[in-house]
Amino acid sequence: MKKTMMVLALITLGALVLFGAGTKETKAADSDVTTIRWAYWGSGQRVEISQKAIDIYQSRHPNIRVNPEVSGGAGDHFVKVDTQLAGGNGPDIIQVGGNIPDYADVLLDFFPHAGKEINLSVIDPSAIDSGTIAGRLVGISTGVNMPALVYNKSLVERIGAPLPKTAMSYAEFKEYLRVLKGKLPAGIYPMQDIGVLSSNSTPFGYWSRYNGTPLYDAATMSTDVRPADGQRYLELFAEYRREGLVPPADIAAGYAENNADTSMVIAGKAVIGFLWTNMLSGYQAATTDELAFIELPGAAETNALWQPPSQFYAVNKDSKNIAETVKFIDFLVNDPEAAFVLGSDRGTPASSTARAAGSASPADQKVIDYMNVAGPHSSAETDHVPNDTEFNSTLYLIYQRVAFGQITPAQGGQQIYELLLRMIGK
Amino acid sequence: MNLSKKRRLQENLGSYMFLVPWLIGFFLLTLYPMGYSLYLSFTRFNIRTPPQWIGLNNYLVMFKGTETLSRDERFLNSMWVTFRFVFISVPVKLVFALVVAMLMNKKLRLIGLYRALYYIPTLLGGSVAIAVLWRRLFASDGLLNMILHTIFGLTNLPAWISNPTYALYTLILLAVWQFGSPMIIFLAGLQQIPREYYEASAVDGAGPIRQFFAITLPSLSPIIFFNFVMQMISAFQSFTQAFIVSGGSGGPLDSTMFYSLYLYIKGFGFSEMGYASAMAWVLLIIIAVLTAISFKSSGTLVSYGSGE
Repeated sequence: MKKTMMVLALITLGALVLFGAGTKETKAADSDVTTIRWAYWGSGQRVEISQKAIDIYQSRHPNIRVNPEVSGGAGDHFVKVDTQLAGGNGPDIIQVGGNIPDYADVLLDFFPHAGKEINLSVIDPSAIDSGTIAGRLVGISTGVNMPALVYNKSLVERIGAPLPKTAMSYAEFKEYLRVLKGKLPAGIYPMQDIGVLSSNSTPFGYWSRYNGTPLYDAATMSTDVRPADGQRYLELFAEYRREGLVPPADIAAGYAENNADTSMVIAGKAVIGFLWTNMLSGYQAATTDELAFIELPGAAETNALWQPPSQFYAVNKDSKNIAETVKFIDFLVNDPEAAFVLGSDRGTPASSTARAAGSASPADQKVIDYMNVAGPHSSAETDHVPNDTEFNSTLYLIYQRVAFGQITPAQGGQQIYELLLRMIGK
Repeated sequence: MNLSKKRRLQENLGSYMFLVPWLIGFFLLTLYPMGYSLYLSFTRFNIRTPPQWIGLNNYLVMFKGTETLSRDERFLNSMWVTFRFVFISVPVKLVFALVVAMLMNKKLRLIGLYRALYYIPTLLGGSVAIAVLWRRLFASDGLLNMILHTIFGLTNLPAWISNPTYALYTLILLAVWQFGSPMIIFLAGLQQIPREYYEASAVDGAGPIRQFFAITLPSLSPIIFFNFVMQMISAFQSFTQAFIVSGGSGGPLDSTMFYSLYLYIKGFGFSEMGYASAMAWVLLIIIAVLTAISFKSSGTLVSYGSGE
């Protein structure tokens, strides 16, 4: 009995331990139908409108089938795509973001396809530049995007507070948060705690641009941020926390802020939160309250905002259906009918034929209004810190250490500085 | 002689043939990936470019650091979190499973229904939906706090699931709640204990408590041991609950950063596949050593009876 037990235990041990093996997906058996696999991240509205665009394309091209492979957030998306690429089973279309340099080696160069499968002449030159790495066009911009603060306009009106100005200095902004604090019931906070964002390097990146100390300069492989800068950032939010302008650390940590489903603003527990402009229509669809934009504080003083491409449609260079895939991307970015359906969900279109199609949604109009104000308060995008995922994950951890009072902002500033050096040196 | 040997081989050939599919699977899907991961554990490998040999560096970074890299404190923290999870959740779960199994062993009407009902959490517990539900139950404005507030009038309650002090315990509770499989095994064990033992001891004047410690526990010891080893092995590999409940971050403050979650983040998030492979091997060794210790120490604690 004892022996049997031991053998049983050992077999289970062997089988269970972490060495899984990948499964291979079965290919469509139909030989005359070409299947394009399109991997992107997003939820709710983006999934719906993407499917609508696919339906239009499929009705025009009965021999093409487009299979979306959707992940809820960018983090999950890249984990999945990395694994598929490593297994030689990558999707045809890979949606990538600011981390496009990390993927340049595995992506197709669009230039040889220009004028054939894809029309690049109607796309803004700046959008072409942003997708060009080492002379190869590896990504077609899905549109322009801007960082912004979103606020729950209906909630502000319900509590009888004045609406915020679109452009405020840091001092005005804090004053406004205090006004909100005075009117809000307990349990609802003036602002979300920005450090809990899964991409918290974006607001920190904005803040360091505001101070004239960009996170990274690729040419010199160096950072302008010093421990004291990190410390001041952490102190800024520690002060907000002390005054109750942002929620206590444990409540803030309860919201993952990956998408509308995990957003504190959409949950109605915070008035103001961070948002990329392209996400407004998706967030708006998730709530009956009206949402609106203001700038991040201080943008007008130092033109610290920037207008990056929202995302890129990129093609796996090992794709078996390169021509058909590139044609489908041409449809997504240039076709008026597609543009009308897709709206500004992946950014305000960079293609003139797509922009000419106009838009039916009031959320898209708000994005355009915001860009008209915030656009002049922008300057050229600064380089992304390499190893984006690890940078965000560790920055989040350091921020939380300070928020939960485990370390002081001074120690946190030092850790942020060391983290930046480690990411650059890696 | 020779003839019978040949015949035996022929007879056995059939059995070997039946084994072939399993053997192919074993070599291709288990042994080869294991060997490859052992190789990767001595390399730096970011998936996109070929692995580079770096010797023992991955292992050194985990435990003491190298000349250029400091010790990985997040790794040590994940180990500490996992050990706490295993050595709290497993004993509590087993005690709970045994108590329920003893209740289920009573001759009641509809006992079959109760047994099925109490098994349900185990069927559901590993699922993503339950992890999401858990998140809602223990959130700052979750059901638990609502009950504590409206019925007991308590205020200033913590957000259990996102507070570094309590987050791990909510996951332990989730693990304990899935007591079904050890319960079923205990129940089978309890039914194996001859009724005469209890009747004879009752004649000698033993009460239920004495009976439990003198008859039930010793007779059940091999089953307890089996359950302990199995639950320990699976608890060491817990992943889903922490991943969903913490939104994939192992937070707050890495307080739910299980070993396998950190392995996943390192490998797939930070593209350090070599390091992640090394972590997988360290986990294998830890589990193997703990299992061996359990077997060694079982000699004095586990009685297998004289009948076998």
